[in-house]
Amino acid sequence: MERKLRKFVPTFLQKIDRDWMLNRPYLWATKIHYVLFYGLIGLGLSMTFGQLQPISPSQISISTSFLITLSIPALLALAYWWYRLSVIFSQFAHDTQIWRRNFSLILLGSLLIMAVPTSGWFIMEWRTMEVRNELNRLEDTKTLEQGVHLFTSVMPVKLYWTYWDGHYSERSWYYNYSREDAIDDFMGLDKAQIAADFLEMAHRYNPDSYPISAEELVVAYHNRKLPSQFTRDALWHWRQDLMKRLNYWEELGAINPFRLHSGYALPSVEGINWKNIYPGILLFLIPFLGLGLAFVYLGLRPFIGFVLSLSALATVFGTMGQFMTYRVEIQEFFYGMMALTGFFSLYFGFSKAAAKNWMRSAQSIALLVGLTAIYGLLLFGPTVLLDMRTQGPPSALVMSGILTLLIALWLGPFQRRFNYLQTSPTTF
Amino acid sequence: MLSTNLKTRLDELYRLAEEQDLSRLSRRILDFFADYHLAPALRNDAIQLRARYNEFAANEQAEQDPAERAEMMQSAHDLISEIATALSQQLAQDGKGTDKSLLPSQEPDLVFSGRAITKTFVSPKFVFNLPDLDLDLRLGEITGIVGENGNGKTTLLRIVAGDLEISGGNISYPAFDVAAADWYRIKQNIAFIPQALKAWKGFLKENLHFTAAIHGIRGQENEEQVDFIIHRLGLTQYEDALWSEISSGYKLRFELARALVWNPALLIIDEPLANLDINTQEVFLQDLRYLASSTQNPISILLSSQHLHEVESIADNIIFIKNGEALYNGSMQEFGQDREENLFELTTSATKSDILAALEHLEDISVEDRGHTKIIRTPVDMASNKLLGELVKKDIAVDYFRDISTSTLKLFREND
Repeated sequence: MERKLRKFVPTFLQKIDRDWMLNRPYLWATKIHYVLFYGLIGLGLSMTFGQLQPISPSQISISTSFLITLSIPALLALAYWWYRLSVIFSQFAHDTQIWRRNFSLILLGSLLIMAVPTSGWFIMEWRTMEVRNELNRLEDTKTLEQGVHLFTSVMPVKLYWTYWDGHYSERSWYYNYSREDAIDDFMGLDKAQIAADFLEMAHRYNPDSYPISAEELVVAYHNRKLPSQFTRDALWHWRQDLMKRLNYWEELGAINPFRLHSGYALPSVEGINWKNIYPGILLFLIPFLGLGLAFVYLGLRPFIGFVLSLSALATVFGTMGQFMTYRVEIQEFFYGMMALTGFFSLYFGFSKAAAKNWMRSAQSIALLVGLTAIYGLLLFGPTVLLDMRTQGPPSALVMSGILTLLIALWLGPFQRRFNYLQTSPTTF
Repeated sequence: MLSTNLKTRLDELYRLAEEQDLSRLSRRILDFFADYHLAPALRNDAIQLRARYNEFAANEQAEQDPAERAEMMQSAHDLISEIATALSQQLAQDGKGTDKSLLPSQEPDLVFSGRAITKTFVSPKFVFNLPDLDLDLRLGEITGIVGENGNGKTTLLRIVAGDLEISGGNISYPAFDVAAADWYRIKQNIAFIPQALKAWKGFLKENLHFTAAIHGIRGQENEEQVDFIIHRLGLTQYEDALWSEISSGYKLRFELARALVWNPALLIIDEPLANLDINTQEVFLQDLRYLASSTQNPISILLSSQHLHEVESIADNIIFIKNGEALYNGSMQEFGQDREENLFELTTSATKSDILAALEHLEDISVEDRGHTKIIRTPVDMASNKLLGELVKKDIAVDYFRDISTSTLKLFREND
């Protein structure tokens, strides 16, 4: 396998590989040169195929488009280097005792990052608590395929909700959310704001069709009060008309439906389902409990090491779980990436600091942050540029997979040396 | 005039050439270049000779071309002459005829020093205690730890490697010149090869390049160093192999290559002989002996093993641990010097009575029957050849005979 794969490596890349192996070993071990080269080739190919295949973006699911344009080549490339390094398997293999300390260091780093408001951790926690009730609805979902099918069929509703509160309504994906349900919710909420925003959009695309100017809409928006002519029936009619137009424009390629996303809002306290807040709090508190224990038992006795490891695992899998259940928006995903980068950087930093080598510690952090930026740009840069959305379990799974691989790649080059070098002697 | 040390080394080369022992000759020539700075062209020739020999030796004996062998011998002869000439010129430039920088230091540096080292493991079912141990490891010396299973050999190795905390006592690494708790820097000087080897990912040679590079050996020097170590350890034919494609013996040798490629000061190997055949054991131990004694990059080697005789043949110091007690901890040469009797181990079809009858004219002889083997105890002045002669004279068929008076095997036998 290894030899066969090597046949597909062009000479110039082999030269780079050898040069880096001899002179820049840490960079070499990340295999970033392979990721860049094959990732770009894969991206170019997928974009070419996309151009040759005249399918409107609205006719395929976002997750599918994400897969065919980005994930598959990226995953193949990453899987290859993952295979080469197999760092997941060797991470804890060198010495069965070291993993406790490693996990504890990960934990300490993650706690520091979590304590920083901009890390996004609080946002993720809030959203976990907020949408917990929706999770119950998801249980009604029969199959993944059904969800994907529903997503396509209720696309206009999704757009509507997108514009409503600034982020997609997850409900429309798996919950058979009828247009009647949508309009009822629509009317029952802040209709002034919704209608104003909604009509402003319509006005922009076809100002002559609607008896209200943009200025009037702005006034209506600020007053939180709609003019009298905005009856329920009128809104429903305009909405239907607009959706037809939007669909038509989408097919012409005139607009990108995914551009409508404009950010998200933090949930209000009233939006929290207090009944389900405890799991979120627990998820949040376990690592802190672990931190306390870590300080008390700095010697990291076996049992405590085990407890800390569980805490760290809860932290990591809690984050993953949120990705898996698409509780996290793309921005939050990036926040998550930042957080993970941060605590892995700190992890190595702590490791090296523990070895009293601050200079190398700083180098490790700088290198890791740099690599994160490169990987992030390569893998998610095109997504951001195209403003493609990456919602739904399929893409969330893909992202989780990529994230895992990235972590593996980050760990790989360093693990081999640090496993032995980073630690002070263990107690057993 | 060449220094005594150089002359001894050159004489060995001439002797091996005379014996036509191309295997050892090509290795020793390379060892020479590891110790003395000579022209790079000569070093390359030496590496090429060794690489060529490795490929030659990889063939079946019937397929080995005698002409090629003769050609390599001639190349070796030429190389030795060139080395001698180059050294003479180099030393003549020194003006005094000697180059002190090429000589080994008189006082070996103390790499590790441990006093009253103890280690205790407590579990619900049993308690393990490593005894109070004093241990000094010096550059250029090999220290062997022998003893039965479960007596703490690996534990001691892990303590020295900085992998395991001690329960009591003091340890230090004087030669590394770093703070006591600066484990990062301490471990920069230690190579530890555990008994259970972990699989390498990717091509073996690339792993060696990577290891050398992360230890600061970069560029051309990296290539040369990796080539040197690969050919020196006879790994030429497997340099482009994968971990899954080589045997256990070669895996250990590649581990050794990875450990040695960055010139550590302390090499710790846990049970290295376990997976090696007899021939490979011999070569491996010889390699360790020469690598430890290198004049330019001497290494302190600490190894554990169950193969007493093999370890004793190369070790400067020996530690014998049994039942939570260090029965011996000192120089190999001094072991048994203060003994009160001689011990001989033999296997024979003769019974204990037969042996006693055959040796009845000798004084203070006793025989212990251990089933498969017999142990004969004699006064200290009884030489092994004399005892063996007496047995043969009385028609005692001896299948195996060994003088264990100065071997730690005696401790095994005495404390059964």
